[in-house]
Amino acid sequence: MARYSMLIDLTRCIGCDACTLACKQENGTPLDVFFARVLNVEVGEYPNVKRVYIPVLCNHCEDAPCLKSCPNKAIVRRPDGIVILDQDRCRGTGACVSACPYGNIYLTRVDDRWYLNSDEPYERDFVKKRLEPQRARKCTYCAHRVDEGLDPACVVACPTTARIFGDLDDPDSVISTYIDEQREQTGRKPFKLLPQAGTKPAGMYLGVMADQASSTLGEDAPVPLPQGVRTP
Amino acid sequence: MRLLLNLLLLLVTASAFAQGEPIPEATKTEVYSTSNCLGCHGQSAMGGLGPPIAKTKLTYDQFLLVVRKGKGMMPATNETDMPDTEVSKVYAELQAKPYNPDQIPIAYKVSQALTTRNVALMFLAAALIAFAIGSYRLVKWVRPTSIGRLFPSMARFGFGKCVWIVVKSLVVDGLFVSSLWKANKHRWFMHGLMLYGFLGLLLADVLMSIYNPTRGDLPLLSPLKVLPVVSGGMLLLGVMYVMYRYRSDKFIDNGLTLSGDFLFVNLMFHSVLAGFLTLMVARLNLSEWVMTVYIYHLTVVMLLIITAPFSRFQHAWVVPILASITRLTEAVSASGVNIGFEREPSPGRHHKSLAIVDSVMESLGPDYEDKKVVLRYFP
Amino acid sequence: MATRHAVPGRFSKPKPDENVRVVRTTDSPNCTGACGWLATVVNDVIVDLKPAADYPCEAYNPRGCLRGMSMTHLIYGPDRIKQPRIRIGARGEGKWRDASWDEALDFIPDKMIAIRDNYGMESMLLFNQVVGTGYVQKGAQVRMASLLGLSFATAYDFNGDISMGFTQTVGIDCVECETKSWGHCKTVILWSSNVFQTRIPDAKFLTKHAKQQNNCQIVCIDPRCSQTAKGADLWLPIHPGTDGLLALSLCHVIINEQLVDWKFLEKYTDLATLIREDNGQRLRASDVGLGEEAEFVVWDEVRDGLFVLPMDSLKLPDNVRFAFNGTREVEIEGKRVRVTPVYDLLEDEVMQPRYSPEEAASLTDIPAETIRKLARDFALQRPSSIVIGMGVNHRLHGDLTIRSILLFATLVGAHGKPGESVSIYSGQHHFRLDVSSWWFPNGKRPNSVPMHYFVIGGPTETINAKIKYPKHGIKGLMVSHANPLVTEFSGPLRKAIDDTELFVAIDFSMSPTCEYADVVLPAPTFWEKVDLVGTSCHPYLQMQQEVVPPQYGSRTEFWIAKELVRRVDPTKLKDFDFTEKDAIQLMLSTGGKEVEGITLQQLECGPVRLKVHDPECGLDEQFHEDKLFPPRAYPFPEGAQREFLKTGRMEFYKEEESYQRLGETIPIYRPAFEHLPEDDQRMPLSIVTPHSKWRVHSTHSNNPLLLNLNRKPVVEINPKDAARRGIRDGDQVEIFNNNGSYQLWALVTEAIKPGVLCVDHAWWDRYLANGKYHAVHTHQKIKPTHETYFLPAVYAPGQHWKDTRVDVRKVN
Repeated sequence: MARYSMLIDLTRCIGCDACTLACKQENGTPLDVFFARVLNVEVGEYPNVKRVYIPVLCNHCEDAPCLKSCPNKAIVRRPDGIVILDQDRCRGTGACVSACPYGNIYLTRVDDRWYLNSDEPYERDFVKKRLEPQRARKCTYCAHRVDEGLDPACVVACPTTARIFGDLDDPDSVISTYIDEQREQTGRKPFKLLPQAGTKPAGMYLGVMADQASSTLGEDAPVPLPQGVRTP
Repeated sequence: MRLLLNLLLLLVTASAFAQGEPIPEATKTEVYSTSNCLGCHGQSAMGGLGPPIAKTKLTYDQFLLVVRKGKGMMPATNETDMPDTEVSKVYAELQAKPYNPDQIPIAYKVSQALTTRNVALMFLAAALIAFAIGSYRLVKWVRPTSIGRLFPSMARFGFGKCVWIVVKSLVVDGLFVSSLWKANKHRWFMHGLMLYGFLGLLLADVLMSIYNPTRGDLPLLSPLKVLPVVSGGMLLLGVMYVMYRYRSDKFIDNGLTLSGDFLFVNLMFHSVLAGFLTLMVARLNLSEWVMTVYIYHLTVVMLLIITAPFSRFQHAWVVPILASITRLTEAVSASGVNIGFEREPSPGRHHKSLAIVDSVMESLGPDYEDKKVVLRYFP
Repeated sequence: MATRHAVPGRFSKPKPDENVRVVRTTDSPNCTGACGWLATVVNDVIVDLKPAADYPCEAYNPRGCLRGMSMTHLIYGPDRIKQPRIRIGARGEGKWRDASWDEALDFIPDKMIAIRDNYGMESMLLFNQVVGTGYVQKGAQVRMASLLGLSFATAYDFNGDISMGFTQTVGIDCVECETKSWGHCKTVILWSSNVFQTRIPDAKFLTKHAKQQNNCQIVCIDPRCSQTAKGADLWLPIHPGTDGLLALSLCHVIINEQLVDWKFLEKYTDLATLIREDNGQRLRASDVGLGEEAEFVVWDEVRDGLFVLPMDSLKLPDNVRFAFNGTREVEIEGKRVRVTPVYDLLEDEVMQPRYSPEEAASLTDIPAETIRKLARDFALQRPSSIVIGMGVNHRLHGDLTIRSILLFATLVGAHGKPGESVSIYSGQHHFRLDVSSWWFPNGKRPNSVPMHYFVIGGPTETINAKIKYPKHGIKGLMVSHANPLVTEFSGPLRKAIDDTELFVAIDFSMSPTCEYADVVLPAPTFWEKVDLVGTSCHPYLQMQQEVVPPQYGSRTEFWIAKELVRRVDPTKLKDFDFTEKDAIQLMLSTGGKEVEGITLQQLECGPVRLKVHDPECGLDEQFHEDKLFPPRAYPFPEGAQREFLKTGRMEFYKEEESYQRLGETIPIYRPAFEHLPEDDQRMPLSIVTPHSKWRVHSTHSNNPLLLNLNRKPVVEINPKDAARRGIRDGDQVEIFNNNGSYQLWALVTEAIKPGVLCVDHAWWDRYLANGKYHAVHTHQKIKPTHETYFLPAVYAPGQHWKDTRVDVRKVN
């Protein structure tokens, strides 16, 4: 059986948010709902600043707390490892929203807000029909695409191919070979988010290769006083 | 499969305790051997579910009083069923029987131990263990919510308001199950049967301990009698509906919790069923079954309590608590007390994102650890 | 295990009807990325856009970014113009009446005819979006301008994207190696370039190919820890405006440590040519009686005599060794004249103590040792490349800076190989084929007028004689798919527009420019019209398809141009008897060697590779085929730039009088702000305005989807500067200087250098807390050296708004 996983290479990621948008388009999410987000992190103080972009999305945990917290059995883990939040069964209780340590479940209990004029056929006829209102919603690894043999939308859209999706059980899959290759070539081993939460996420990350050192005297920019005013 | 499991459970408990001794033909002339006494006190009157009465130390008058009034679980017997003459014959026969302590059956010893007080203590102990495990597990549920990281914002928002939101949510989302009410009234009703039935039983138990600690006989329409019967009935109906749903709903398996779910539903079903059976057995005077059914009841209830932190039972407290945290987070982030939230593209998860960031920094190595970290959402 | 249909997804099963079409197309916004897309269309509504990822060479896949993907929200967005509109109130008042196309198309030609009769047709100016992004539609407008005799201004030089430093050195305004060649680098310097935001589809060549596969050293020079600094090994927070000094300091190290590639200099540069001490001119062969005036001489050390540089090829005989140092005397018309090689002059300049790393360190804020190491790494860890960003160029002395950077790379010969080039991806007005036959019917070109002169109110004294500025000035303006009123220089432009009698805006979104117009014509987006698209970022020619018909009441630029020709001058209509596909056929058949053999049918099936080198390194003809500089700049004929690069080699010495007068014959360092008025110089902060990841210039400013993520205009400010002014994160603040002020919100961040503010480029004014985005920016000033020659968008005046100095205060 398959065990799907997504590996995000932080060396490749440029924090462009293409995944965020591709996901919105694929899943028809309303205002303020982003199944795939990119965390934009500034580390350190000037001048020793580093930037890290951390794309996050549902980790499809093996031991998914959201799933166990759902009173309606609306969250299921398919045998291929994809954790699905069934829109029909969900009653909008909201327990899963808190149960998820990653904050990747979205529940708006008021009516969804949208982007375009309400009579715009694009949104009215095609976008709004994809998700049920007032239900919890989350990333599905684009199960509908995976079922048709396609990669998830965010993977397809990633301009730097920082997202690698595949079956960990298949040693020849893109993801398995990539992990092996990177371990050999760049010595990077995949890590997971919040291992202490014990959720056994399927999503994995590879570290940053760029040093991100900085070099400066650390002086303030001088004010270019006009000639005659310039102090010695 | 599930049916089989149910039957198996029933058989195991029944066979453990219902060792009715065979009645030898020779003793049929004895009054004692033909009386109802035999059922509980055993062929040789060395006890069964009831105490041994061979060579009873009671005087005849005391003996007669017990027979007429009943004692504890022992039902009263009136003169039409057993005239005084017969009672005296039985008394005499009993005095003639040898007192052989080796013949006191285990079942009696067990039942001796199962005093109301002991049962209460056992339940208390089980509940304490379950509570301890449950609390430990609840921490494991709550810690990932990163609610601690929300404290600075909560302080700005006002802790009083936070408490109010949580309490309100516990009542509205937890006790009233508002989300189900909004989504599906039918489901709410069925879920209510179980929830409120269970709460009714719990209440009845508490009331009983207060007002009828010796479990003495009560008038038919006493609230202490009506409440558990009605609640139990609701619970039984509800749990049977759930079992029906478990059979009919092909999406009931979420791939992770199925065993815990079954455990809970089945234990709950058996607890209620055994409760009712106890009542029924008592009512129908099937005194030889009373102890069997009672112990079966006690066992499943105990199992229900002990497994609660692992079975589906835990949703009863985990869901309301998690839901109330969700409401709290919603309210705090909607209030805009933290600029970070205001800028957050999808409000309400900033604190969790911070947890993720810390985790990643740890994984990225020494260059990234222990640095000032700021989470930006744009530009 | 089955899940219910309510798995979130596009099509619940069973699949929807056959109305679903998938169309392979490309977009053509001003990022010039030209990414291929697959559009899913249901009932003539675009429901999904995904990168096509069908480029035959796998390395290019996928292309596309968040902006392209979110086009759906502009196509169907709330600001979409649905009908022609005619202004009824004052300009900018926002009072309109909806008009039919007939009405609008009668209104405009009437006014145009009036302008023609009163002032001459050249008083009507066409200004459209950077033209290299769509050869057919924008070409149709230029064709119309050519046919009717309109004036034509290119957005490219008006935006200031024209990098005159390149034109002055290599004869063409930008050299762009295709981004794939970044992957070969061992050292890359991103000089104020933020490719992770501005070249998103190409960033993989840095992260994946260069860094991950090649372990390349990436150095980012930027006062701001930009998004790109994330992928850099070394971030150098330079003092704004001192880039030129850093570049010359790097040259100083190269020369000092003898890392110069002399063979490269001999062949490809003018550094050996001799400069006359008497008049500062280059010594010509005719001066010493060795040949023509168009030939130049160098001193050959092998034969110890003068050598005439060949002017047919860069190829040199083997047995020469040019002298780069030493002043010699030659006899010219009987006089002894001292001549010195250009290199010697440069060395004199560069080896001055002011360019030593130690002295440069205190001004640039980059330690001397870092400068030394950077120069060494660049020279020795090859291949090495430089990518220059607009922050360097949008300055009055941006040309000097770029010349200095080019000098640095040239000294070590970092040109012309995979992974070796100096590139500036500043806007792709360079066409990948010759579009002349479509754009310029019968060779007739519109009257090219740089927009600058219109903005500053007329020609300068030093204006190039080739520019025929209309004698009555500009009386009518037609802006198409451009938003010049949301740029750093839109203040004076607005005033200039007030003097016009007709201002037509053609666009799909009701931009601030449209709001100021007299007539607004609704045009389709890239997804609703056929076009031919090329880019310098990758070598594929692609066809843009009409994925859905023009939406609402919009009409293509092609159709509008044709209708205007019909109404203004029906006799010219015979030259407009085309369809879009005819135009593509025409361009393919006359487009030159790059498109030889490419057919329309091939293009309809997908991307087609141009006949170019793989990978293109920029200036391939020069470095591979030894052709003289400058390379051809389409759509101008071969040799159009000859006059401003007379030696046919990379020129680091400009002999023209204008350069001599400014003292800029060789690249020197000029403090960036010295040309500002005293009051401006006193302002304590400098401001940078990088292109935002959320926009292509100002397009997508109003995209509701992207606004959901990019919620507010912010000014990035260092905590040190913020604390001094009592500003906290999220406060509403005012940026001000002597020009004006505007208000937005503060983002206090460690990722910016103290003394520098950063506001993303081109926020529409309506999103600001108060005021107008352009208010503080330094206004148009034309550097006389930029007027020495004129070739639209190749040699023309630039912009310098990044020289602005400001201060910021908290708004209570």
